[in-house]
Amino acid sequence: MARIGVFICHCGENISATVDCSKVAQVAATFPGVVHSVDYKYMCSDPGQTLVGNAIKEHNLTGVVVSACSPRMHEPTFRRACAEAGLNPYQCEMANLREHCSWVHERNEKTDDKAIDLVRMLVEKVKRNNSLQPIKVPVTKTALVIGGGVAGIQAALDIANAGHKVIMVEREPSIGGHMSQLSETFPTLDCSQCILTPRMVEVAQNPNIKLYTYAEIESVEGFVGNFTVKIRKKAKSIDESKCNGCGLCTTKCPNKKNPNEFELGMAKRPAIYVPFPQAVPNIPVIDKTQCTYYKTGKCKICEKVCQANAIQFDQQDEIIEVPVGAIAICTGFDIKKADFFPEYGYGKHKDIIDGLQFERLASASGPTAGEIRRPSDGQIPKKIVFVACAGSRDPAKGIEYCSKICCMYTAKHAILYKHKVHDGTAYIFYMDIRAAGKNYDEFTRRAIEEDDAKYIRGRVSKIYERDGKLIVVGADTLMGAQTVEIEADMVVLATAGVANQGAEKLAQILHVSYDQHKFFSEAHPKLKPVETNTAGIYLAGACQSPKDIPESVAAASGVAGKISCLFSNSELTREPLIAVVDRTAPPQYSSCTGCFMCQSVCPYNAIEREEINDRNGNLVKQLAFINPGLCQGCGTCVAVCKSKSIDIEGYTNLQMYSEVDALLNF
Amino acid sequence: MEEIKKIAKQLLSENKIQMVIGFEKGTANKVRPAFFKNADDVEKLIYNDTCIHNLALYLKKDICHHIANVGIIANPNVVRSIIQLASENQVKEEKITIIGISYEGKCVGILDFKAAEEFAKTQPKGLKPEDRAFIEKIQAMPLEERFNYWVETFSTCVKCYACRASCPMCYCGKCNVETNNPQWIPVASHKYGNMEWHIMRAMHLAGRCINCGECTRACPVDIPLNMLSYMLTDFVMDEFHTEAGLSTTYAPALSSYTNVDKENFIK
Repeated sequence: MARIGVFICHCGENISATVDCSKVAQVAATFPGVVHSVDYKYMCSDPGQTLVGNAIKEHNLTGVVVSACSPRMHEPTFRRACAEAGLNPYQCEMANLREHCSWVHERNEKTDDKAIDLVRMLVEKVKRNNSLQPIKVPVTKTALVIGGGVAGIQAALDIANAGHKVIMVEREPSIGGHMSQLSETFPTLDCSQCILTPRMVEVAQNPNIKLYTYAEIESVEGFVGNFTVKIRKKAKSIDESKCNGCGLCTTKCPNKKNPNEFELGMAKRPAIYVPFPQAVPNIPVIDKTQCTYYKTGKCKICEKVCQANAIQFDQQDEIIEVPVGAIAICTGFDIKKADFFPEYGYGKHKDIIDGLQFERLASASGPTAGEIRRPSDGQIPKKIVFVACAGSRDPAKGIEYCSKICCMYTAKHAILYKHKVHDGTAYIFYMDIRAAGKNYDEFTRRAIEEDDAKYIRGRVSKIYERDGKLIVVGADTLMGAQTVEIEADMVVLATAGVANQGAEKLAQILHVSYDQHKFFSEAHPKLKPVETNTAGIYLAGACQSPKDIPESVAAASGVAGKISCLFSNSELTREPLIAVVDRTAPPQYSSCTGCFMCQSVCPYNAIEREEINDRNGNLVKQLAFINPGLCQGCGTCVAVCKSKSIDIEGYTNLQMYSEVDALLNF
Repeated sequence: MEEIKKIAKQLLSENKIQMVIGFEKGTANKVRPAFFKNADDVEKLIYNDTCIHNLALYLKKDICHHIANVGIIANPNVVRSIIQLASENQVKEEKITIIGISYEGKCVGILDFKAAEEFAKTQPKGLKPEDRAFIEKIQAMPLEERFNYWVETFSTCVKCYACRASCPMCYCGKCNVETNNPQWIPVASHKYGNMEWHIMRAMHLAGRCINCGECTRACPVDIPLNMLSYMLTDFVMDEFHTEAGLSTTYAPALSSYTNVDKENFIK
């Protein structure tokens, strides 16, 4: 005989201001099977939970209905409280009196009646709850880190240092990401390469990390703790085990006039190349679209000069299949190029460059060896205009969000410029200076006060060329919106940070959600900032939204912490709220007819074919079998099953029917 | 008919099949389904215009359970049923020998599943003009009138479940109507309870029914159940461009997705 306890929460005034909680408790006490019914101000508080626990022991309850907020909020809390008092946690249900009642209605009798109905439904449901046990699944203690930028590097090192295996996959021939392209970093102005390259080397040398560069994710199957990942290792045309990185091939390659991606087109590179001198691994790649041999069938000079016989023109892409337990997405971001801006000439003026190109100009290892020289004629620009918010915060351009890093790097650019060109002047058009962060505001003050950056609050309407000068036309909104015209030698656009190319495809491979700008979505904006909605897949860095280096690194360490937690157990515990196919005595074995319509609707590929054989091994029947590790309990299979042979534990047909029955037949 | 007998006899005597499902003479000048297990009995087999019952029904019955290979005299309706059952993983090609017969009564010999699919495509479902007129009449009714029409029509149902018993697609071992915990469908025969049963049956057959019309022939109170099925078939064709009973790899409309499925129900 059911002995149900009902606990009505006031949620401070969230519920009690609209619903007469004591009345609901009194009425609930009269429901068949209810032996205890009380209301309390904060049921989720420690005294509230104690109230539930004590009642379970005192009244020997077989089921509990907590009528409070959404189960999304506090179901785990109350299930835990019930478990501590000795009741199976799945004998606890929540009636949502807050989101489903008090927040959406006004205070009157009908609202009370609805609250009573909601409690009645859950009382009828909980009477039919089964005591369930959590499901245990094994864990492969290897993490996959997708992307080898600073976030990926940090995540990989932290996970590896916690003693777990890591597989890192990087699309480019070298790890390092955008950070390796930067000159100095704000707000301390330490050299980007100097702080990053040692970490890149650490990745290469760490025995727990297996690095695949020039590789992409082909497919991902499985579930938390048990993913199977296929990695496409693109052919570098180099035998990595033989190459010793001497670099002779790159110097002897006769085809040296190809745009250098790392220098953003501001320099040239050979067809066989290492992206930058500090690359990890220091192994060249043949660009098949540019290589003379691949185009004409003749040349092979690199093969002739290679002492190690490492050149392999016939190398094919290789598919590597690896089991992993968790996945960290650290694929970073991209920026809009100058050709995104018709008002600034669609990128046709050579001296209108983006922020990343300026980083290369300012970098000691860049195309100008660190001297600020304009791309068109190599002259040192005496007047530079920086345009902040180029594209960002501009709904007309489809980018409503703030790209976050531009205010800071533009201030940095102005400082670096002044340090290198003492008699030059830097103008900065800005909307707001967003410099929230440790030592960030001080840094922008330094740009203005010590390094003489001329900040103009306003936007730039157009830029055009006149007599070899770039005429920047903008408004100064602090001077009554008067028109400002500056004759600049060079313009740097702090263009919007956008999702990386291929982010959408990767999201679809991984089954993680992404927003309208193709940035990956976190599971909860505040409380689960590094998790995705798919268990076992995490996010770090600018693939989630524009982030600076400290934030990316912090998120990456967060992901590493999450993954280390996941790997700290040999088995994972999963909620047992999954679909099950009924089983009966022979000769039926199950009411399942084996039509497998459930198989085609299952979004998680969780339904398998189970064969029932007689003792001679003859097939008697084929039944649907639901893999408890894969099933997410969505219930689509239940809906298509004609013979009603599938039930979701915790949400069985009987339970749902009882709830509806309680509502209709009262 | 002689050709059918010849094939059946030969198959049985060579032990390629152990039983053949066909028709024999029944009482009152009618035909009835018959199960022949040896070649001599096949003399009793008959086939004529009145042999219209859907014999595919018996493939899922106990009588076929332990038989290694069953021969079946299959008119186009039976062929379509077998193809549909195969797509639902209910019959295996190696356990069935189809002796195909066209609508005109012409024997087309033994059909493997591939040939059966081709055969089914050449045998269009016959919808009589009066049936088409009936469907158009129903579809022209305003929604409320149409609902009331069916409520009234179903009110005469006595829940004998002859429609279910005669339907080759109703092969579930445990039917929902017999589930009492929860009690999805009321047992008693009353207006709305009858409606629930027939709505459920129609939903379960949507995209699966091959329109043999067996349910209507079986109904003792003359409910035009096959008209409902025809309308559903039309609907599935319009919405999902698929038709049951033509392919053994058919993905049922209501349990498969394609990226060209209409989404106009999202408002």
